[in-house]
Amino acid sequence: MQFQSLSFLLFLTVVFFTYWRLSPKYRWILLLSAGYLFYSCWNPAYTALLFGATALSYGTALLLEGAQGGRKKVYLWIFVCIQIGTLLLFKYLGFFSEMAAGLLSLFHLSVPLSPIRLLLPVGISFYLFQTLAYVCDVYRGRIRAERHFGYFAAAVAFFPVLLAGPIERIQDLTVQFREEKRFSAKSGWLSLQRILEGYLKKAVIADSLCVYVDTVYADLPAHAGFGLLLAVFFYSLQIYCDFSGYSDIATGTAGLLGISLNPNFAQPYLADSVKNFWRRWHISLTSWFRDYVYIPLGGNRVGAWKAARNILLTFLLSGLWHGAAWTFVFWGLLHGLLQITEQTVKRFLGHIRLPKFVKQLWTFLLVSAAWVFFRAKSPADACYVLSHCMTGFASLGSYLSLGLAALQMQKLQLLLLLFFLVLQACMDIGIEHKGRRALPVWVLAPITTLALFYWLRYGTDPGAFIYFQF
Amino acid sequence: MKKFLQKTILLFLAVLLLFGAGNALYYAVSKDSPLVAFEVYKALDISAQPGGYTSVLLGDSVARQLFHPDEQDQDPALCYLATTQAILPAGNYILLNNFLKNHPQTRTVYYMARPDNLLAGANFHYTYSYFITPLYREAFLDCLDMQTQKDVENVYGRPFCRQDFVKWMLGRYPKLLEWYNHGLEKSRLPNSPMPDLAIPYIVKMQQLCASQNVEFVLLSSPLPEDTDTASLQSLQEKLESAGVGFLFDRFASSLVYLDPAQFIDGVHLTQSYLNDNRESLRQSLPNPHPPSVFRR
Repeated sequence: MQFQSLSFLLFLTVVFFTYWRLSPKYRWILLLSAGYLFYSCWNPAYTALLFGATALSYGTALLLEGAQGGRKKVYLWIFVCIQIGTLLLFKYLGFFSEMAAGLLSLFHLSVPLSPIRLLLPVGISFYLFQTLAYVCDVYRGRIRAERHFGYFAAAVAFFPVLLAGPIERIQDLTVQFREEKRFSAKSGWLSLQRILEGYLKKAVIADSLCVYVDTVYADLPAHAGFGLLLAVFFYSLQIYCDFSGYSDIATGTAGLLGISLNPNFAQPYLADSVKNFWRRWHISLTSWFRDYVYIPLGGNRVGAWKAARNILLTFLLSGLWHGAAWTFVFWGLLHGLLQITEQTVKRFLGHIRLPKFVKQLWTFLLVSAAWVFFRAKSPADACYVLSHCMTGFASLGSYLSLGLAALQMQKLQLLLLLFFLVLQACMDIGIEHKGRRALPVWVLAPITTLALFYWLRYGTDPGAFIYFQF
Repeated sequence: MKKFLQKTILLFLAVLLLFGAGNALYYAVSKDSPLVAFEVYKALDISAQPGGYTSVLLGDSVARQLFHPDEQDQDPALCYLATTQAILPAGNYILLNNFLKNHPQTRTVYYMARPDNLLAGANFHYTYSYFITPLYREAFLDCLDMQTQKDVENVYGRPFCRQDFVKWMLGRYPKLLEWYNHGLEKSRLPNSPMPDLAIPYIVKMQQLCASQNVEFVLLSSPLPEDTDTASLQSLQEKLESAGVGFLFDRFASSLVYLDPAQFIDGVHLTQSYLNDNRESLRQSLPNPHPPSVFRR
């Protein structure tokens, strides 16, 4: 059941009306059942894994609260090993077995290590990180362990965030589940608007750009110069609209149930530095790595070298979290290096003032270049794109002469897509300066109609959200 | 809650109204332009224009590769009317009927297709767009017998077959067409027959030609060497049981098997093969003997 499917809309409608008809003290039962039903639509067998992770973290947190000294640490480490072990088993076993086979072959040793690939349970990285954060917080004494298993399980299986985040803190959800909320028309309308915005980003912008990007990356040697450069920028926009679109739908869905989620995106392409970009992009994951990896490593309160090491290590792990592939490792490392370089440059050349839009443009270019590693099938492919996208500009004329065929678009389609891109940019700038505002029906209706027209006329097959694979 | 629901319903109705009004306007200005299956509309136009052709070639997309209408000027005698297999023999029968009405001097009709394409029945992926939308029209319904019309409308739904606005909507919005096809496939009763638009219409083509003293020749499009012979055998049996087994002899003698490397996708010929062989084929086709140019 994908967010962009009709079955999800029906599911949401049923949950919405039932939720607000129920007495607040029983709503958790509905949320829990809805979460497990939603998750079982992907693969019923993996609900056992979800339940296992829930029960284990619930029990460990209670144990930790009662334990003292060394025993507390032992409980924590056992829990961490199980959680990380599960993630390694499902997500990284194939990657590491291939790597081991590769290393052995360097020494002319041939060990029959056939790559092991298990079917990755959807959302596993998200809910394992969520429960890991919860147990760590209980261990540190920041929060008290949740006593009510129902509320706890409903928070882990909260369907709007179950598959691809945002990685909400469990305590933030359980507190809201307990509140005796009444439906607010204003926040309901804002949530609906947010859902529509999410669909617009995903089904109209991201899925349209995806056609060209996929074509180019499927046959890189056939493209050069301007064609590659366009694919690089298209992918930057695609991944933003895809993932922030997903987050908008998740936030809007939760909002319809009166639950507010922490922001996951804050107009990232308006960032004026790579460091600032990470305060705006996938905020829930960035803050997770900050709180549970970077700060425990010492953060920036250590010497310059150690601080640089901490940044690199954090981004390396962040890259690996995204997927078991060298491309993600390079992507993470590249972001780490960019941040270190940025800090160094700032230290020596901080007195030079540049206009904000220049810094924003520069940041966008750097981030777009890094996305190439994220999208490419291999580091070699990424290097090909980066080394060829600035060459062959002599072919710009012949490329443009291909017209819309090169973009695989029709005239009206391109015009509408440009309109939606400009609209999205305006909305982002508006939100940046004035915050999110509710739009009246007379504004929302024509935009929705135009988006509906576009999607029915030019929409591609609904591709899964990019972050589902993680 | 009431206020929220009112606003949501208002939004929904506003979108519906705007979408409906926009489409009504759009339909008014573009109802006569082709929607999908452009090659079929083009073939219909060609078949309706009077000309001095003495022979015509109908067929599937492989035949269209060899005899593309854009290269028609090179051949004043043979009319290139090949389209795609998706219009099925029934669609080709409609085209032929239309062509013969406007070209009474025609002496030979070639129908070139792969054997599996001559046997293929209606399906839920292409038949609506390529056969029903352009060809299942009031003007051509006389070409289809009552049973076929009944079967087509049973399977595809009468309003979807007869209402121009519905056809226009499905043609204009690929997503709607996708849902429609998907819905058809899901809702189809297990025992409801798919309309037989293949062999009976090859027979009708033969009868139509015979009634006007026109020679009807069934030819095969080139096939890859690894093609399964089952469809050939099946075609022979079906033609024989339909009483037109003699058509198979010419068809069989026109069979040519090529290296699979000459095909892009196992069906369509590569551009280099076409460049080397197309011209000589055009010249040799009217010859009653099998077109030797297909031979490697």
